[in-house]
Amino acid sequence: MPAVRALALLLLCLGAGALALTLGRDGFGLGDNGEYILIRLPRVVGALVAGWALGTAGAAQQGLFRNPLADPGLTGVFGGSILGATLVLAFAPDAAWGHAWVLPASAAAGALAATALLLALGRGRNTAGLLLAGLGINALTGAATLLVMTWAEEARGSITTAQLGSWLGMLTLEITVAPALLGIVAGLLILTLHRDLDRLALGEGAARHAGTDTQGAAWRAASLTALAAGAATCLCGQVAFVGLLAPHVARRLVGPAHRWSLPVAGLCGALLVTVADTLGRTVLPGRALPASAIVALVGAPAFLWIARRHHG
Amino acid sequence: MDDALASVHDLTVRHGARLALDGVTLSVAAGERLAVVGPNGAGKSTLLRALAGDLETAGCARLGGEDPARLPAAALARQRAFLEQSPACAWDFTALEVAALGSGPGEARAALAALGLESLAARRIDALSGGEQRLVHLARCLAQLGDPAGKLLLLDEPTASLDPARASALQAVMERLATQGGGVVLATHDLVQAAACDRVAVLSGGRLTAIGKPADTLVPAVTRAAWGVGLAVSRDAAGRVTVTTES
Repeated sequence: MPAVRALALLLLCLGAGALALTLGRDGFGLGDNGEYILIRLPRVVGALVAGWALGTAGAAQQGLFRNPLADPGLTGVFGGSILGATLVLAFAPDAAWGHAWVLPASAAAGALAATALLLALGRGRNTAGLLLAGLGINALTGAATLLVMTWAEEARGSITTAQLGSWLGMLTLEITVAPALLGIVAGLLILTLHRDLDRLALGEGAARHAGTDTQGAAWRAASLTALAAGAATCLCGQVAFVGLLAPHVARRLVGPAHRWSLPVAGLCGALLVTVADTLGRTVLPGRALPASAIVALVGAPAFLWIARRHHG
Repeated sequence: MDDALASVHDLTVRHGARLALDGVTLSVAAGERLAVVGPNGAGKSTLLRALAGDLETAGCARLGGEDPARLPAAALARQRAFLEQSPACAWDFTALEVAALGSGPGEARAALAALGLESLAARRIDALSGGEQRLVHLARCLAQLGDPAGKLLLLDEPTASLDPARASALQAVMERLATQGGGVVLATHDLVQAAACDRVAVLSGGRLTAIGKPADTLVPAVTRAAWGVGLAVSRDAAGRVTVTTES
C-alpha cells in the first residue's frame, strides 16, 4: 500500500526532530505540543513542495536538453533564482518580507533570466557545452550575488542561509503559502508538457516534423522550470542534485516516457527532500544539518556515476 | 504544377557561400513516387528539407498549395512526414513509444504491423539493430500520416543499413502508400530503389540535370555527368532491376 506508507512517512517526518511529537494514550496527538505543528508543518510542506518542484523541473530540463546531466543547480538556474531573491532582499527588504509574492516572483524572475541565458548558450550543445554554459552562468550569478551581499549587510544572513539550502528551518506558514502554491502549480503545468518533451527526444528537427512547435515548447518548459526552481529556492534555498537524481530514479521505476516519468520524478523529489530534511534535523542531536548537505552526499556520487556511465 | 501535392519552383538555397540548390523546379503528384539521386553534396537532403518546411524559401516551395515554412508545426505534421537521414532518440523508449511519437498507440501499432515489426513493439529502441531502429522511425512517420491520401512522405536515405529483405519491405510500403493516394519523395544513393520509383530526379552540384522515368534518366549520359561514371539501369520482364557500369 504505497499511499499508506507515504502517509506514515509524512507523519514520521512531521513528528521527528528536536521538538518531537509523541504517540501517547490519546493517539498521535498534539497534546501540549500543539504549537509544534505550526513550526513543523510549514517545514514539511516546504520540503515536499520544493522536492516536487525540483523533481518535475529537473525532469523537464533533462527532457528539454535531451541530457541526463541537466539539473537546475548545475545549469545555473538556481544561481539566477538566488540572485533574484538576493536583489529584492538587499534593496527592498520590506517588500520582500511584507508581501507574500515578492520573494517568489523575484526568485522566479532571476531563474527565468538564467534559463534564457542557458537556452541561448547551451541548447543544441553536447553535455560539455551545456555544463560549461551552466558553469559560466553559476559563476556570473554567484559573483553578482556576492557583490550585492557586500553592499547590503543586513540581508547577508538570509542570503547565506539560502545558498546553504537552509531556508526550510526558517519557514513560517505566512511565507510558505505563496511559494508552495507556485511550486505545486508550476510542477502540475510541467506535467502537461509530456508529449512535447517525448518528441524532443528525437531532436529538434524531428520533433518539429512530428508536430511540435519546438520554440514554443522550449520556452514553456524553460519558463515553468524557472518558476518551479524559483519556488523551490524560496522554500528551501539552493538544494542541488534533486533535479538530477529524481528523474533518474523515475526513469528506472516507470521508463522514460514523460507522461509517467514527470509525475514520478516530482514524487521522488518530494520524498528525497523531505527525508533529507528529516534526517538533517534528527541525525545529530542538537545540531541541524541542511537538507542540501544530505542530498549532496547522495547526489554528488550519483552525478559522477551518471557522468561516467553516459560519457565515460 | 498547381495540382501537385508538393513542388519547388526555381528554388535556390545557399548554405553560407556554398550554393546547395540552384534554380531547381520539380513537383510530386498524389500517388507518385519520386526518387531524388545524385552524388554526395548534390543537394538531395536540402531539397527534402525545403519540401518539409525546414527552410525559408520565399514561397518557392509549396506543400498542398501553401508555403510549408509558413505552416504551424501541427498543421504541417498532418500533411507530411519526414524520415531524416540519421533518426535518433535520446531516451530509451520502447519501439512502440517511438512509433507513437507522431500519433497515438493505435496508429503506431498498425504502422509497426505494416512493416512486420509487431514483435519489436515492447523492445527498447537502443536494443534494436540500426536497420530495425530506422524502420521503427519509418513506422513513426507512417503512423503520423494515418490515411496517406493527399499527404507526402519524405525519406532521406532510408535504405542505409537495411538488409535486402527490409529494403524490399520498404519498397512495398512506398508502393502501397502511393496506391492509397499519397506521394513519396525518396532521396537515395541506391539506384535499384530509385529505378523502382515512378520518376527519378538527378541532382548534381545543386542543379537538376534530369527528371523523368527511370529508363530515361538513369542512362550513361546523365549518370556520367553526375557521378563521372556511366551507369545504366535496366529492368527485365520479371521486374528485376540491374545496374551496370559502362565499360
